[in-house]
Amino acid sequence: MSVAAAIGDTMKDASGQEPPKKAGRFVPYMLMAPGMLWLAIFFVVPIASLFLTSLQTPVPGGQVGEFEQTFNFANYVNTLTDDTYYVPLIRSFVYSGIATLLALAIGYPLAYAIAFKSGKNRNLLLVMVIAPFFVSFILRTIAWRQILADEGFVVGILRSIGLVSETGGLYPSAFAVIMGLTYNFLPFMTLPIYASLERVDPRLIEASGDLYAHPFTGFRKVTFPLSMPGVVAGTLLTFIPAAGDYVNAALLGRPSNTMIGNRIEYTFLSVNDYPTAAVLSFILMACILAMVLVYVRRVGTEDLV
Amino acid sequence: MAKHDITQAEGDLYLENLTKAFGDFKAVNDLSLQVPQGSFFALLGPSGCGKTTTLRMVAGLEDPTAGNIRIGDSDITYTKPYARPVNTVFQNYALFPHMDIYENVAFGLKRRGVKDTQKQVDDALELIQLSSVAKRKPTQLSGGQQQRVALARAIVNRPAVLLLDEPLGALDLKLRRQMQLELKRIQTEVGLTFIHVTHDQEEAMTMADTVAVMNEGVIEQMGPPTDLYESPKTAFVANFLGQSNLFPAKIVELSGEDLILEDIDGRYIMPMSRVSDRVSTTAGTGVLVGVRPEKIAITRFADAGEAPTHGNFVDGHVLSMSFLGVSTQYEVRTRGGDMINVFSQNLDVHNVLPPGTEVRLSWLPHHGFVLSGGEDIHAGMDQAS
Repeated sequence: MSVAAAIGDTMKDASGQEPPKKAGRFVPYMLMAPGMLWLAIFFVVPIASLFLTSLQTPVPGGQVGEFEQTFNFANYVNTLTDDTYYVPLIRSFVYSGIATLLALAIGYPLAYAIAFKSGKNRNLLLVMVIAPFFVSFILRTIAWRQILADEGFVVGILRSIGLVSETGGLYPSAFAVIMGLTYNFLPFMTLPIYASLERVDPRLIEASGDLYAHPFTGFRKVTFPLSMPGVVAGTLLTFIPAAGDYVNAALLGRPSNTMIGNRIEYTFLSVNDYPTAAVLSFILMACILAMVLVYVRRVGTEDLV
Repeated sequence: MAKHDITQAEGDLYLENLTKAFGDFKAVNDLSLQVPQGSFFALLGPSGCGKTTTLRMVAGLEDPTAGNIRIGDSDITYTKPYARPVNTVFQNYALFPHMDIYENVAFGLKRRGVKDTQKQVDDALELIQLSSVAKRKPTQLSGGQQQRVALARAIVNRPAVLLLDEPLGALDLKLRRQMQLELKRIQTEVGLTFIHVTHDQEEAMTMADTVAVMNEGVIEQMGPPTDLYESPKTAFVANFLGQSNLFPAKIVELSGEDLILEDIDGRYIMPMSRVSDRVSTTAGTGVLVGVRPEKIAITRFADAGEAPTHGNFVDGHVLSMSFLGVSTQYEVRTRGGDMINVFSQNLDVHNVLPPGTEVRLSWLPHHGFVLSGGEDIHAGMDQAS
């Protein structure tokens, strides 16, 4: 036995650690097992089932909602070429895209202020960001109906200063839907950005100032790039659920503001056209996946610390 | 965005009556000093002495409560950090983790609107002998390499003053020694004014032309390292820089150029040139006599013979002896009860003196020094590194 090995053994004994057993190799897999099992049952199985549903065709002469398993890929072509489906799909991405940008515009300064300027109020401010979660998502969205109603004070003030015409209103409208999305997903934008900013070493910002960077340049060259992981996480956490959301469009919009989530719900539950609803779900998933891949590729977070 | 103007200045750095208060606590108290252009200046002191605060005020990262900072004729007291011709090597290096080494070094040049940074960055990387890592990220470098990159990132801008905040603190002892020589070489080569803040007295003495010892917000003493070591003016400096034996005595008389002192162990002669200017020379005044342990000769009392006529001596017995390799350290209790440390060079290891041996300690008058009796004998002792 070499001296180094002998020292190694002595140190192991001293620290009370046993040499790794063979069973140790399986520990990571055992730790993963519950999660993997959960995903297998509640994600893989339903997805497979949904995919099979998307390829079904109606039973000839059958009742409404009666389908047989086929492999009719024409379902996808038919749905994608039907403007009652692809228009809400595009609208969903426009609405959620605008809501994501708005949430970033509001959430980034908020996260920045909490991370760098809040002093001892930091925890209080963080609680306030999370506080809306104490009230149900549906209730909060309905509350916005009240706030934006024609009789409400917001519209009253806007009418009196002429920003909204005497007969005009804010609810129901595309504006109300986008505002609802922005509001509901703001914490999902703010918190990851805060987490990233909070880890930025203030000495790096001092160093940028010491190296002739004006505070604004220092932000652009140092602080913002270092907060990119939070920005990426925040935009994904906002854009993905917002694109599939149907609550805001249902509660704050007109039929002309329908998003893809509403179409899926309607097709599934009211029309009972399960294959088309399944097709829409898959198209939505595929579009989001494609956009996220392009986005993450372009922004590229792997270089960041 | 338009490029802002950076103050153009060169010349000596002046701190005038600089004060920084945090509430009631004065971190820096009415500090004045002048750092000659092109010199290597060290601010040395224990943690909390105000040296880092002083540095941050020069960098513009803290605003002084009172006083002025000038470089040559330009007052930069309230100039924003990004407009000062001053760069800092931060203690933790503060390299930008999302940029590679080249981009880190080019950062300051780009901010000043330099279009072609290639030549200057290459030269800076060559100066620190790290040309090969230009495309790597800071996390892929060792601590010593990161330290040198931080230095290059500051030096490439040719600032009027370069600040180093405990730059070697995170390195291991061997690398630190190597970097000390490296820093000194680079400073000589580029000829910039370096202000180096450290709590490590060896580091300060190795590199700096001038050392200012700082304690509790004020400068205790300032001068070339040899002056500080040989002629400390306060007990703090005597104890913080190396080791000193300090013991109280009273002035008997001033005889020509010599001061005659006395304590329970006997009489000592000290040349006036070795007496701190803070000491009043009237007879009866209490003073502290100081001698460095390595300047004392130790001999068996039995072999001492006649009392030396030109030297100072005390008698006592060895309390403890420890063998240190190059020297042997003795702890001696004098007959009067004072404790005195002696470092004796190991010329002949068979001649060590075991504890209990009666000995005579002697030193040449100009090897000792005299401090004011009002000083705290133990000042700076437990803070010495």
